[in-house]
Amino acid sequence: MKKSFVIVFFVMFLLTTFFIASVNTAEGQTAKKEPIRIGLIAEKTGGLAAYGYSHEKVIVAAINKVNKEGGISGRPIELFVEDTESKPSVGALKFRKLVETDKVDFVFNSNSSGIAIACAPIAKELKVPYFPCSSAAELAGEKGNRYVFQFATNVAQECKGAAEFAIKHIGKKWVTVVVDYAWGWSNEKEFTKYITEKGGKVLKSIRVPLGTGDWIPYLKGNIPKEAEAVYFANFGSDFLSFIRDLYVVRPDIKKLGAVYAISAQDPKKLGKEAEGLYCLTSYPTRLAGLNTQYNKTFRNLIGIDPEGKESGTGKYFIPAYNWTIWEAFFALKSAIEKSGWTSKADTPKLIQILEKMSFKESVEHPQGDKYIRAEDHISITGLYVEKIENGEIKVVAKIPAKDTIYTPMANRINESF
Amino acid sequence: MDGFFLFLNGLIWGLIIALIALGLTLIFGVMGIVNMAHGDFYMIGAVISYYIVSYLNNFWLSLIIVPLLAILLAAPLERFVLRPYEGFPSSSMIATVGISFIIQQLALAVYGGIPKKIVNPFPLDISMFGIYYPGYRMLVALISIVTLLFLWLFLYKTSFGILIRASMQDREMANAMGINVNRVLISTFAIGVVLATIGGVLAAPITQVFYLMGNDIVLLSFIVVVIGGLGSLKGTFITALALCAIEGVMASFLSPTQARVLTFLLMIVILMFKPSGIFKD
Repeated sequence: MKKSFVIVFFVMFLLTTFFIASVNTAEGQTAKKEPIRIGLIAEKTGGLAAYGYSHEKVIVAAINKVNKEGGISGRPIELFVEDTESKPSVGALKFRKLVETDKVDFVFNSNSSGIAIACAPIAKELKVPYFPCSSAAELAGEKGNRYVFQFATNVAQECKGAAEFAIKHIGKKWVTVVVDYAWGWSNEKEFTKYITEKGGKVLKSIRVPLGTGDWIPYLKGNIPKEAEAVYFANFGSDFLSFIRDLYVVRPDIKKLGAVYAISAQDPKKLGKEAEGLYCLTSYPTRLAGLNTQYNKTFRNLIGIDPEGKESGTGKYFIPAYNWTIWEAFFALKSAIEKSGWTSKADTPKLIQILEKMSFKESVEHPQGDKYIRAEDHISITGLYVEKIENGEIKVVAKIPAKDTIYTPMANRINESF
Repeated sequence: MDGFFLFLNGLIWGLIIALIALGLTLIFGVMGIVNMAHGDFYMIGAVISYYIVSYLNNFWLSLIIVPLLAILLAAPLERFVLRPYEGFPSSSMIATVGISFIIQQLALAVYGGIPKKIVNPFPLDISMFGIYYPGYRMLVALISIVTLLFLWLFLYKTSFGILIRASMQDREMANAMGINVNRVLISTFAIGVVLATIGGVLAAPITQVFYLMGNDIVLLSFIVVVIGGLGSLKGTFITALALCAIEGVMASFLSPTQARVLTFLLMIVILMFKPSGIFKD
């Protein structure tokens, strides 16, 4: 009897100790600051997988930097990543999952325009600020809303900025060749609009499905003889197939690529098909194109060398829009600090602060000075034209921010939250 | 001239499709298996060829190494996975869809989700009737024709080929006549897979190497096999060439996407009047 009493007492003592200990730990946890939850929808598989990989790497670097420096308003950042499989339907689902299941406060990325456009209305519905890396001009127009901030220069800015250079240095009679989805259509529409304004002409517009291996059926017989140049919007392996097959069809034609085309390509391996090709970009591929201390530090932090290769793997990285995810994150950091944001209830105030923000060139904003245009939530900044010469990528022109400004297609200031 | 160029281009794709579709029809005819994973063998061919080019820096080696690896993959797959399903087309579809998923996910895990390109191994343009045509594509045509010629010689001029064709016509009778059907089955499956992987190797430099690249091809191959008459070798070969050439010609005055839509319409019309295919006896 006595023995069993001792055992029961001992067990109860253990249970009580365990209970007290667990209560203490729970209290200890609440005493710690709640993390700010950030979601990333990234193209980890599918046609845009290389871009998803680089964007995840960049946001991880940005978060590590901020967490090391004490977080935002003393709160650590917790990252949740979802794979969009490069498909708009999956991207939209994952966006919801991040907000509804993982309870994130802000969502970043998707450089696929189709995915960003699919997610924009969900951002408004769920009242979550969304920072896509897409450059579809529609996001700054009817497809966007007050919760969406587009840090990447959009296609309208890019085409407006490029039109004069294209007419002066490349040619007047053009053919557009674009991948057949939102970003490509946007490029086709805006390039035609601004090249016509400057006195040029688009003779033919060709659309090719994403992931097409054989471009010959699309190009052969479709490029008029009098065409002097092709404006193309494709990237990755589509770009490689395109220049290979364009060379078969019209080896003499001049080429200007939309932002992204030569990202992550080794120009030495591109050969004669790509020699003399021009390409737009909002961020120079090589450090030499924007040789500042801020840019050097940024490239070191995200782990790419002056040539644009990833440290460790030696593979060509995709720097084109990496700056947009980095800069959007630091813009959000400043906005949280300025607005005193603590929870979702403060989000409208945070958005109003963001709408008035401008940024000076710094490690946090290595691409250069810029400001957010309140009406359509785009960032106004400069552009570059790069050219492949003797197997090297060189910056041949800088387009100032003022040349890229077009009349806003929307006015978000009076839009309700 | 553009029309002729696109016709030629269509014909070359037709030869690649013929390689793949003939394997599909052989496997169906002899084994009674509807091989939904056939497009993935095509993908494996392209992916392995990508690795061979990356590490050995020689594309042509793929044409030797890939078929050998394909045999090593196909033989155990037939013996240990597919044999219970042979002769049961509907359940074989489920089994091969499973194999397809496994292959695709393995490729995603090992090769990654990014489409890659193989540099043109034969960068020479050939002039024909006043138009320039990429030399590699002509070479693809040549290699496909030689492969198909070997297949024809094997099936029609060797005694083992006769055994395969006998098993295609009547498996039970072939068994009753003392033919070692198991040997025929394993060889047929291996031949089918080898043909698909060769198709993948040849297509790799003119398309994008991607873990889902088999999906489009398997669809087109099924169309070819169905129109040609399930199990008919002659029908499959002629349909593959005809369909791709017609699609090529249509692409000269329509967009290639519209041309593909018309191909599907053509299939529907043919199947309405000839439900068992054009060349089915």
